[in-house]
Amino acid sequence: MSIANIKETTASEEIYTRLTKKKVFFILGLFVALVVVSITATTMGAASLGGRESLQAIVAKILPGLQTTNFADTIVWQLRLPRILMAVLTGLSLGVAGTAMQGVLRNPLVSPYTLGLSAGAACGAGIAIALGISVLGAGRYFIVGNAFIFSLLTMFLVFAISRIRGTAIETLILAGVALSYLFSATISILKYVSDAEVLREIVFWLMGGLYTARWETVILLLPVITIITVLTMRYSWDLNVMSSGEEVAASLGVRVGRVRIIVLTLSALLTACVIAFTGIIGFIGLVSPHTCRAILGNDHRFLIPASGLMGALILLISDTACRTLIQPTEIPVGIMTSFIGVPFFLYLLIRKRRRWWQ
Amino acid sequence: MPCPAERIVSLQAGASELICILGEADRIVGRSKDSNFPPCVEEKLVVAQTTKNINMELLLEQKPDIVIATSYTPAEMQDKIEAAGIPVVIVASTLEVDPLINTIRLLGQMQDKGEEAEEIIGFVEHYVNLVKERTEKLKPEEKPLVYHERTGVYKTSAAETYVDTDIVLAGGVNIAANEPVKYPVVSAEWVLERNPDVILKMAPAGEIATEEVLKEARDEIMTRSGLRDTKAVIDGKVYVHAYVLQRGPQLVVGLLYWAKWFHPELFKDINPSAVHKELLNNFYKLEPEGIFVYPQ
Repeated sequence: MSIANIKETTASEEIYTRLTKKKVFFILGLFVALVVVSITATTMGAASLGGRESLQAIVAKILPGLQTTNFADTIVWQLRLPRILMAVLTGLSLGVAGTAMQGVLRNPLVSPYTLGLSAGAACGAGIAIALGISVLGAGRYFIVGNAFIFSLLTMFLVFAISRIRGTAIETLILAGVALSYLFSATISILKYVSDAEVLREIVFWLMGGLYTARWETVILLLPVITIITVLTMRYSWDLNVMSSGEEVAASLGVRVGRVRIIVLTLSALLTACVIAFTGIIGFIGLVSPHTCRAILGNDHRFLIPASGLMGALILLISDTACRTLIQPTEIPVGIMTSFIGVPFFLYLLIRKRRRWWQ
Repeated sequence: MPCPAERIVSLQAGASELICILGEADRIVGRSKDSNFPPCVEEKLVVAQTTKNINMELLLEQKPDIVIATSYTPAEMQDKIEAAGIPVVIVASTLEVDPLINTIRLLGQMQDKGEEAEEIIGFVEHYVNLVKERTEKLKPEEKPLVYHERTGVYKTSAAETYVDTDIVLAGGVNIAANEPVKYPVVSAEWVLERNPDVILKMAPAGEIATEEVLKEARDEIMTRSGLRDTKAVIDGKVYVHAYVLQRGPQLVVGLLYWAKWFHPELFKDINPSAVHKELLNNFYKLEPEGIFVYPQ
């Protein structure tokens, strides 16, 4: 090997390292932004609780010497923090799931929505509510459980259908779209035949929201979501290779079919976990992967964590706006995610001239 | 207009109920699905899911003399019914006192049952006036702050809703009266800060009101993290009520319960449950069945 050759390698290595550093900084930046926004959100709300008092209430739990009022403690620890954490967890899960699904199916239109998972969950919840189970009390867990089961069921149905014809990507997506229509129709029937108050509960659930966030839910979801996210990230290399085509991936030793099933199942679990509790929150799973791909490129090692953080950030900002804009009245969060996310997304779409998909 | 009508289709639950207590249940030949009280109306044919979703062929097939509809019934539907030569009578909601009385009077005149109608109106007015007279003199500081929650979590009612009207009539102050949305979802911390003296909860829907269900709804409020520290929960002034006590003549029973919860001293002599029994016995020829409020 000549000296010139070695030098060239070092030069490209340098570029690679520099780019990697940039990406790591971007992810760190997102993380810092998320922490800052979380803390800011803790000081905002309908109760007239100043920023100082709110922060005092947080710190008082850690430093027992500090004085705080019972009222501030309840507002911050029982009402604001669980909700903020729930927004972060939900946004993160939807962002990660969306990225993984888009990566594995090599299709920019894929999201928990298009694969029918959201419609499945909604249908499950709708059936539970129509059966006369209340959103309150013990019934709540029945609705959550039903939503969870139905969205996983959807995933397996989509798989089973595509299996029959070989796992062609189009089949998967078409099966997902077809099933969502079926579920939407079922929800429509339930809405049509339900009496007024039941109808309200179904619509309420369909709108999605984070105001029912509780510590129990956060504590239950935190380890589950962390584990699934880490597991998903372990498939980053496989996803990277698969993005250059399935034949290429197969020739490089990636077991394409197996990776696809595992990653999609992980994504389905992730989605099902959160939407079962929050109701349908759309758009995050689509917008955060695209946003991050526009900035970072298609390396899933960076894309997955960045997209998770971006999802968390968008949802947290949206939900905080929902809580505070016309307080004390709450705006449904789906409205806000679209109002905040869409202009941002369109801006990126127009500004970036590069074709960032393939 | 053919009066009295021999064959009536009623697309409004409140009107169906009133026709029955006027003693004209036999005239009903079709109903909306939510017309389910008193029990005798449940035997009638369902020709509409709601006042908006009407099965026109089924409706016309019953050859009604008259169709009772609401302002929510689409104009196209009304036109079609009238094109078939059937007059459409639009009635108001029976969730508030004044429209209720008007509707009772209208239906009474229509069915030649003016005397019966005036009797019911007398009963309703008697108790409404009783509540009014006693709460009118209250000073603002004597009126409890009330948070009313519908079946959804933190879903409440602002001014110009029947819930607000009932709260005001019963001598309370609705904490959400000034909200811009009619049925808003409000933030938990705001409710906590307003610190209501009384919390009312509408019983969960889709369930037969058993003591267990109402108790579960109350326990949920009593232990909910945002409400646990409110004055209402600490004083145990959390009440669950069934939706039926806010519709038709039974709304006076709901009103009496609320007034008594807000001002126990002022309404010491009133027994809402006995008034309920009297109303059902005399006008509906029914015995109260099940449970309507919790705790009783």
